[in-house]
Amino acid sequence: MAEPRRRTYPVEHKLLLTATLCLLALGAVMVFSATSATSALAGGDGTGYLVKYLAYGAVGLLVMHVLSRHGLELAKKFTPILLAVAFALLVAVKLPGIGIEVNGARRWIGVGPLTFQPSEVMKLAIVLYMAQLLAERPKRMQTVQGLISPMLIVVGVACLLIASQPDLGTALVIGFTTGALLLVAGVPMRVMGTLTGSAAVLIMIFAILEPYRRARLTSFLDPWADAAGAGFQSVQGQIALGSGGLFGLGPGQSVQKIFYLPEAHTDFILAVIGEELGVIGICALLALYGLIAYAGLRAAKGARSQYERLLAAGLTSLIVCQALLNTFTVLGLAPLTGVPLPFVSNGSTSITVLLASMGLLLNIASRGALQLQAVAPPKKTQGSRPHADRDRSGRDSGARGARAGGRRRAAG
Amino acid sequence: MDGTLSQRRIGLLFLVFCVLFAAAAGRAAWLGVVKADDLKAAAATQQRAQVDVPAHRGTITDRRGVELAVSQPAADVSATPYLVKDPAAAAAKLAPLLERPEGEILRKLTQRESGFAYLARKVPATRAHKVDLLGIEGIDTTPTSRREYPRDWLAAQVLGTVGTEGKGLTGLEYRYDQRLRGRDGRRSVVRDATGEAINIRDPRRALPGSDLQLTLDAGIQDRVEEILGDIGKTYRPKGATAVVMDPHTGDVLALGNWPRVNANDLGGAPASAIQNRATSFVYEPGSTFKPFTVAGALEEREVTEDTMFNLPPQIQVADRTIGESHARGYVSLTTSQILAQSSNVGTIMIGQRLGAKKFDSWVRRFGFGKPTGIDLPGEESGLVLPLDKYSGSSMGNLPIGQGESVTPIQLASAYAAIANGGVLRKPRLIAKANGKTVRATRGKRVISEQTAKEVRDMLKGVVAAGGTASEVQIEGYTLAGKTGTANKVDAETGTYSKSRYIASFAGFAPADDPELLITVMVDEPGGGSIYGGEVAAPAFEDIARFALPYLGIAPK
Repeated sequence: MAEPRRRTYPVEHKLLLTATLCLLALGAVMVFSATSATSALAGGDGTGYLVKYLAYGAVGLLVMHVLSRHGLELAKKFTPILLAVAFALLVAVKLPGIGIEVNGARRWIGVGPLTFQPSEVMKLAIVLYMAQLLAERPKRMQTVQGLISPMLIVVGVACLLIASQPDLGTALVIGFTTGALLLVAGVPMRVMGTLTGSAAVLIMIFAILEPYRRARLTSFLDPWADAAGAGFQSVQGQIALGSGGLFGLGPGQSVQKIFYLPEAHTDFILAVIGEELGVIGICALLALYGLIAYAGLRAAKGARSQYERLLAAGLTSLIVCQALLNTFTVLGLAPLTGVPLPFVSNGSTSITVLLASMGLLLNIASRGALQLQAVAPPKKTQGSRPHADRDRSGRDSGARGARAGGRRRAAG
Repeated sequence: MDGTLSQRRIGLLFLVFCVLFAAAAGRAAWLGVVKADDLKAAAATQQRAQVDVPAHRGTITDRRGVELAVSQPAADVSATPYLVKDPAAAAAKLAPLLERPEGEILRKLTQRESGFAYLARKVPATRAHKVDLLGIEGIDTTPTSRREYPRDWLAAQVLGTVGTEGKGLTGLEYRYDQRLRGRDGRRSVVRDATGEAINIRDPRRALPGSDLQLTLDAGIQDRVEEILGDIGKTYRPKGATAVVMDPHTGDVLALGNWPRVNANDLGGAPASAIQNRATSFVYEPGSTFKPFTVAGALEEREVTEDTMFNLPPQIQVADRTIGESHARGYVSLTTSQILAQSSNVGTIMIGQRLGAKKFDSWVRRFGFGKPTGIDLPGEESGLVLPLDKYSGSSMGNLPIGQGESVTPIQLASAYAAIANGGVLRKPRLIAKANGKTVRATRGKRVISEQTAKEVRDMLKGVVAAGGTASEVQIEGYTLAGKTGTANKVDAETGTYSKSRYIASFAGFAPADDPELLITVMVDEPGGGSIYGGEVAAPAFEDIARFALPYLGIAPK
């Protein structure tokens, strides 16, 4: 029992944990910076958002910790239930009286300050579901028809529900993650091409149907043409980035965050980072996500089963796709979609779910080490592996989970 | 399952991610380095503003500290029309506060394509604050100041005006604009998107302007204007001016003009009323000029007080024949009597004794032909014929005040020299600037005290029995002065008009030790009388009657 505690985690695990904690620290600082002025002006002490961010971050870290020990075990057990619940919640959001409408979008559920966003849960559920399905039935993915029924139908319906909230950003993240998963799963390139093409057409149709999305599309091409209207947010974001220059104005010095920049603490926090920390700051941030991509995919490569491999790749893609979509949006490389910057943006559900994903990823990454260190046979049959996993993780957690949790709380 | 395919695909996925991250980093560098200057400029455009902080304009007070011109905080109210969501509602709310017709405001607000429009300027701060409190989007207030003249009409032509941009345009406001204005501050403001300042730097602080304390006395000024108003009512002249001076210092105690104007509403006054006639009106002085001819002759010892002249009814000078204003026969008069009775023939004979050359130098010594240098803008220099332009008949009209022209202030300052014992001083209006006393100029002696006294004594005769203004009397005070009734030159014919006159009076009190000098000039009196002794002299008496006790000058 004492031996595993002293074991060294594999490098992927360390990198993932380091990058995540760095991003969280940066997120805390930037959320505070981006919100302190406006919330102080609104009549608070300026720390409202910081406290919320830290609270959800703490919850998220707890979830991450639990899942980094028992994630796979739980995932296998609860994937169908999670998917069903996620669907139920997505439908519930549509119902007046349950769903909360903010700025014309019905994305939230909950009471008072405790609101949460079912679409975030759906992201995780989809990855879990697809990894399981693709690993269990590898034959189905050789053809388009095989993929569509039932997997892509499930994904499609989920995307449609989310996109109609409207939350095109999250739908796109799910779409890209699905693509990444299919790619890693080994879907033939011909099939990939067909699917990518159809998806692109669908997205275009969806984007053009709604006038405000059309405006976003045209304003993306030249945001300065309508700097006071549809291009406003993009332009203000770019002004913030440009004001920062190479080294930034210094932490807390952003001017754009005070009412110029909409969503400065959530979707557009990258612009505040650019203004205060400069191009250097943005590159550092991108490097942290690059580190997650590297370590996450490395963990996928070293995973012991196809399921774990797909899950690791899927979870990594989920985080990285969201990070890329957000940075591209803010930098003006993609039309406005509106997804939070993973781990950094203030968003209760987003942080919790992303940290849960990271927990699962860490779980997979750490198992690579166990395999190297403690387990002699490098290859097992597929059937026997889950049993071995379950046995080991069960032993570990029974004794350690509580202790570690208690200690952490005491230290904090 | 084919693990190696997945391994390869993972590598491919990582490659894709790397390319995308690189693209993001490249784009960030593009925006943050290459485009940074443009974007910083855009940021500065929306975030930074250079604001002029208007310096507080100095207050103008009278010699006792009565406020004559003060600056009050105010604001310009402007609109960015396309930002105003409901122009009709906004206009309805703004109209009463701006005191403008609702229709006018609505018209300005509905010019949607325009990015800026002043709705009202110099709105008093209290009302401007109410505009701010309305919180209408697209309506802005810019602090400025508003010049107010608490006494409305008082000395309006002397004080002058300040334009909407805070620059003095006329009068003392113009003459001392630099001093009164101070120096506007420059403020650099970083604003958030709601327009609230989040960082303020003052690279240049505003320097308040100097306060000016005038030599004017609001009490005397008030009375002078009242008396001129009465003249205006009675004689319906084109204009009238009175100057009250302390002859010893040159301090102008009052400077009144009729018609009067409201300094707070100069827009409603005709241009002729706004000008300060004391310095800008040029006229032939007529008889009021005679004492200077006599003073010159006395100083040159060509005559004494008692030199007897045998005067014919008329006198021939070259091609001209000059008679008296009231025809008479042959008389014998002393120098004193000539002045008291304002004899044209006698004065010309005195002038002839003096000779053209000496006469010319005496005219110039008394300051005629050049501005007095009083602290007012646009002072005329009058017109004095150069000696080489004299014709044969010149000495037949110049000694009696025809053919040269003067301003009322020139005449007042020349009379002051006679009153104060012979020293010509620059008349002055500024007693203190920014708390520091402005010293009176030393002046220049033009005649001896003895000559001055002799002329004063002669001028007593004007207001004594047999003089041209014998009705002018104030119990307990001896008075002295000189009347003037001058034909105006008809601009069309170039000859003297038979119907248009300038009636004037210049005098001082007490006659033996003058402490008060008063000149009154009435341009084209109508309605009965044209004579200086009847139109202007009573005004002198009224002013003196008020001012002597007011200034604490004891009767004897």
